Amino acid sequence: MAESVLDVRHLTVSFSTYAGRVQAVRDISFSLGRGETLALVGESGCGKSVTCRSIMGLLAKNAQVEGGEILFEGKNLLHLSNRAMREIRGGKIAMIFQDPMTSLDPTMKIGRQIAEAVRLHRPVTRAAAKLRAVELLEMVGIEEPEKRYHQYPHAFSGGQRQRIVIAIALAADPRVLIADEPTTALDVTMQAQILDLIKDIQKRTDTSVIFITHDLGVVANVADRVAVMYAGRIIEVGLSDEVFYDPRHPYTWGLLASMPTLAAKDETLYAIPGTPPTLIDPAPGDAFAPRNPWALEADRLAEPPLFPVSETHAAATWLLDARAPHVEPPENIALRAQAFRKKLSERSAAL
Amino acid sequence: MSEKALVTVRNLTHIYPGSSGKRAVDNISFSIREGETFGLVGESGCGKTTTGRMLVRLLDISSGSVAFDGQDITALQGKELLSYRRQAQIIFQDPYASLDPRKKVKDIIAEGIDIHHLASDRQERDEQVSRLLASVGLRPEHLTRYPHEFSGGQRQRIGIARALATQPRFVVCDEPISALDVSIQAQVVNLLKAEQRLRNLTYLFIAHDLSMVKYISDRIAVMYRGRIVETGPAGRVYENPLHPYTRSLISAIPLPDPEGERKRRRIPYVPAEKEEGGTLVEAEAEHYVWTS
Repeated sequence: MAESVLDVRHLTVSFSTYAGRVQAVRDISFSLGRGETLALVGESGCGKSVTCRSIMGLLAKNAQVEGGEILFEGKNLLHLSNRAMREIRGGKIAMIFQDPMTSLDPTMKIGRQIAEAVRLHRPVTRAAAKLRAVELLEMVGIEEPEKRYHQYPHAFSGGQRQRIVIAIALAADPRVLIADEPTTALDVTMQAQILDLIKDIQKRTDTSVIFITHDLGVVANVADRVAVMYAGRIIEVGLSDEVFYDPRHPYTWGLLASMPTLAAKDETLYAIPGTPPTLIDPAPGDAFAPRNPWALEADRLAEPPLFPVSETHAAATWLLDARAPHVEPPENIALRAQAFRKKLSERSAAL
Repeated sequence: MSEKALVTVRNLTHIYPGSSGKRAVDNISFSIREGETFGLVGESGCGKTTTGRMLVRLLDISSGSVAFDGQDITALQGKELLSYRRQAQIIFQDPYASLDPRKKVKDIIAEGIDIHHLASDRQERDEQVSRLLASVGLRPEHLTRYPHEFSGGQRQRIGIARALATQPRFVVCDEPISALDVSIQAQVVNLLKAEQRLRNLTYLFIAHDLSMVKYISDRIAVMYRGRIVETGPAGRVYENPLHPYTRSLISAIPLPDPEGERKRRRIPYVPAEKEEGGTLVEAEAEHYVWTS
């Protein structure tokens, strides 16, 4: 892997609520390579957004970082002063949110909103900031940028607004871009365009991207590597191909099997039984065990560590322990692996 | 599934109130057969939700007609409308906004039973509610709880139980899974299919998630700017999309297959300047495409 830009080590975050202490993120570690896109996938409440808010220093007041470190350019972001963090936030690390309408100021011309972001992180004149803003608008594919600079957010469609939000995020040439469900509120054709835009910008600027989503189709489209999260932990991580074609964790199996493919028309979809656990006083053992048809006795006793599958691939399930019985993945997961191996051998035969 | 049409829509139009005269739904016609799932897909603003709401008479029909089991329901009033609404129910997209937060689950589910006097006494009402609750996979202790105590998937189950309470024959499912998590979506889709088999229900399934629509539907219609641009058997529309908009839409669905995504070529859709005066033409058996 290329040199790493951002390292999250053993991050643990909890929230105090009336009901008790919610352990939202439990001992998460990952690193983000230069120019790489890492997707954090999981369902609501799995801790993916809390992880990113920790990186941005945007945690709510009732949040507590209980341990770990976030290393960026040799510094631990968790120990920076508010002032130092303000320099980094929106500067070297920028974020795109899900809903473009709530992240833009409806009473301010969009051009000024971009120029403001430029001037916040760079000592440039108003005129230079305006030029840069127009350039950014053009870069994110807004036509007639000089004219549209003077318009308000309501004059733009949902997809265009998300382009403007991306322009603001790019204003200070960030090294890391965190995209939190940036296409969830958009239609499929608009989503496709925004994904292309993010990939295109990344190629041109060598930015590293953390892409948060619950949509495995979007992950397959954008990600170099994938980390699957469940109940505050990373339960499987690997190269995109490894996670999609050779998944090892039963939760990943369940997620992939529960999506209908365009090819197949089965009678019943595979559905993971039950619902995600609450993270107040989680029971000992693997948090996924109650929903896991392949759960072992060990799962109820102790949380499984991440077992390495390859140099780049690991999964947190006792099924990978040397003492575990051999388990066959469900049929359609086995078919995915087969189809992929066939493709690979065809490709190498063609070479 | 029978060949008999349960819902027949002819030249259905909805014009926004006000001076603009914009047609949210513009002269569409289709029919839904008894026991089938008819999928309606399209992007936001295409008129699919407006169509669904007109079919259950929650929105005014500006012109055109809807027939249900041979009876014209376009202008029903009073008792007749009430009786139609017992047979035609709707499940809403947002399980957070569509349940009254001040009512207990048992009273939410019993709304239709009360309105249509489907239970002769309190005990019968409770029995019906308990059966419905069990059939959607919730537990008896949930009866006396309030909506805020439930997750999104559970709330959608409550919404389904409420819709089934009046023993409808036709249910409009308006994006019932798009607000739910992936692992919960499959549960709800399986529940909808199981209830359909059990009760011989007819569904209009509205969604923007094309892979799920294809999975659940027998036939589908693709809407664009208030019009149906293509309709046919679900498999045929996906394997052999005829309208350029359908092609564009299918080419944009991201699939959980990185290898396929790397090779993906998207087809942009540029609408023709003027598409007035067109009509749906049958290109192959039961497969129609808008041709101007």
